Amino acid sequence: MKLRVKLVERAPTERGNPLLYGLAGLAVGIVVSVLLGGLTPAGVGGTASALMTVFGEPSRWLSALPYFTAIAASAAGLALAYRAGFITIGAEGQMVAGMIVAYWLLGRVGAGLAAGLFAAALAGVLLGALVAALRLYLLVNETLASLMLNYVVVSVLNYLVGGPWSAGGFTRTAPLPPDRTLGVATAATIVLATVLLVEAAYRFTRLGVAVDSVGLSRRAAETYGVGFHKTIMAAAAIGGALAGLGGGLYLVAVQQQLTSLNTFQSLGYGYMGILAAWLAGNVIAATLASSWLLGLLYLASTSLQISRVPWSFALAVQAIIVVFVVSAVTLSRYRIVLVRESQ
Amino acid sequence: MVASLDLAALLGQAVIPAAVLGLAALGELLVERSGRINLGLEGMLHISYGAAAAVSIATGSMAVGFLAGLAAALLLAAIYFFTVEVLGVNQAVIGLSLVFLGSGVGVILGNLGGGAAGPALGITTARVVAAVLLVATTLGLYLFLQRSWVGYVVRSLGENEKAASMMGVDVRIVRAAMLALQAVLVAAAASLFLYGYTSGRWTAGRITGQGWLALGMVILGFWHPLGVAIASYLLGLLYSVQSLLPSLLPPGAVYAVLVDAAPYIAVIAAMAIASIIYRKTGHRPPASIWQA
Repeated sequence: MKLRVKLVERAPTERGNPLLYGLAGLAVGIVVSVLLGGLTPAGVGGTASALMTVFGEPSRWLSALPYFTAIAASAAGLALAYRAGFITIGAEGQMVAGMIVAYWLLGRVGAGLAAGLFAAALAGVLLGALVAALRLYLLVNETLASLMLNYVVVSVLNYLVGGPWSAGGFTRTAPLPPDRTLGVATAATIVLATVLLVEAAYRFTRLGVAVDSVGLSRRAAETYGVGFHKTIMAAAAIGGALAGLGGGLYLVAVQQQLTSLNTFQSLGYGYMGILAAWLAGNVIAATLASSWLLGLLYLASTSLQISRVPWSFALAVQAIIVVFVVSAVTLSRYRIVLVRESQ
Repeated sequence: MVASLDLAALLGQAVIPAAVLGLAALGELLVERSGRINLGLEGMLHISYGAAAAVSIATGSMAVGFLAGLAAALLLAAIYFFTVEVLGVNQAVIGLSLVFLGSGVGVILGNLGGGAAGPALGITTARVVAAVLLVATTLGLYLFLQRSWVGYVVRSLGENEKAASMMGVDVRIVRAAMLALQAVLVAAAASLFLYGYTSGRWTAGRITGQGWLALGMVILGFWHPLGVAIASYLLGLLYSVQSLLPSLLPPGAVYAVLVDAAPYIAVIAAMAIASIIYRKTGHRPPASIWQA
């Protein structure tokens, strides 16, 4: 006889509250993250103190606004794509492409803000559509194609800021003219409104049904007249538009110039958007909350960088939290039982 | 004569990057043949590279460094196994989370080395080790997957999990074993990268992209050990050519941007061509890869 731990699926009416399980997962994830801080120069105490400072003082919450703006813009579009079963990780490249195009129009051509932001969104649409076309017509895996395009876009940016757009011999451009910039609060409001608009489109138009049905079963969706190609293309384009717009807004509201990026770190917010989307369970409006949370975690990690904690600590913490929350929510469907098995 | 000497140098230069990619890709091949895809491969390489560097610098031993890299890769493999196989969490969510977890923790671990240079292999030794590892692993996996009963079991699991289970295959045990083997190969790839490619010195982000490219190699190699090894060697060759490109291009050339992006553009193009060929020849990936 041996004892074996088994997970038995609960009946739908007996399932645990996923929100409570998710919060428990979040708490455990934060504890594990603090323990991970023991490997950094800040130590467990320093890490815990940085998190307490950021989460415990509501006055600091607004400081996460720049990160929230960038993360939420990419997360909402990714959530829509993931609902359709289109596993892209191209938001990072789309954001950077949006920044490049917006800078070109605003800083070099002298176009107006609206034109610059529209072009940034369009750049994201084109990149999103390219990945979707590769997937739909050439069967290229979208996860790999989108990731590799991210690296390509970062290379283009580095070429531009190190060459033709370089200012004063540095790997950065000249700042945007002051009348081509926006306040962070305005940028965040635009993102908030856009995300809510996409949520409304998902809930109240054919888009939502199409995206969900394609994601659940392509065959069934097509049987009922939902076009697979059209849906994937729409989800990829909307996701790209949001990420591109996010990049444009981040440029005009936060960075206000282009600087070189390394392929490893890149800008980072497009990658954080992936985690925010999964953390929100791919619920578009909920990505606003998850992006805020990840923005706060990122804020805490930037304060830790003074203690020589690498920036990547933020990524690790965010990933740990996603793993714990997603696992805990999944666990709400099961009951843990001990089973006696004969040899 | 000069051209042939250059070609020989180029072929030799390609061995280490090819082996790094090839070993990582062969590990992923095992997982995909058993019906899962581990998108966290990039994170496994990062964490293994960081752990191997930190420990080899501290102890002065490459073997201990490799074991540390293996332990780190096994940790991520265990997280993947528990969450995907036991809890049934979506494998894409976990895989992508492991990318960020692995790369984040990898940098923390690598920083523990303080930027010092650890033990390293000489260039000739590194190339011989890389060639032997790549050839031996490829042949070993070919014999295992294509010519052994256990390999047949793994492949059948990748095609139809339910049928394999009904035939008495313990799905979880097989997948756990494939993930563990993947961790071993990832640790070998990361150690080779550290000791043979970067002279024992860890740099943040130096290994970036290798895991993603390795995932592409599995597709380009059509889920076959020999194909994966050939695809990896060809990309290794491209890396060798890439390092020569700046000296061949006029300074400030617009297309200089392509130098950094070349491997990624090449892999996207190659995957598109391969997909067309596979479609025309009726080939397809293992059937149950994306079912979790």
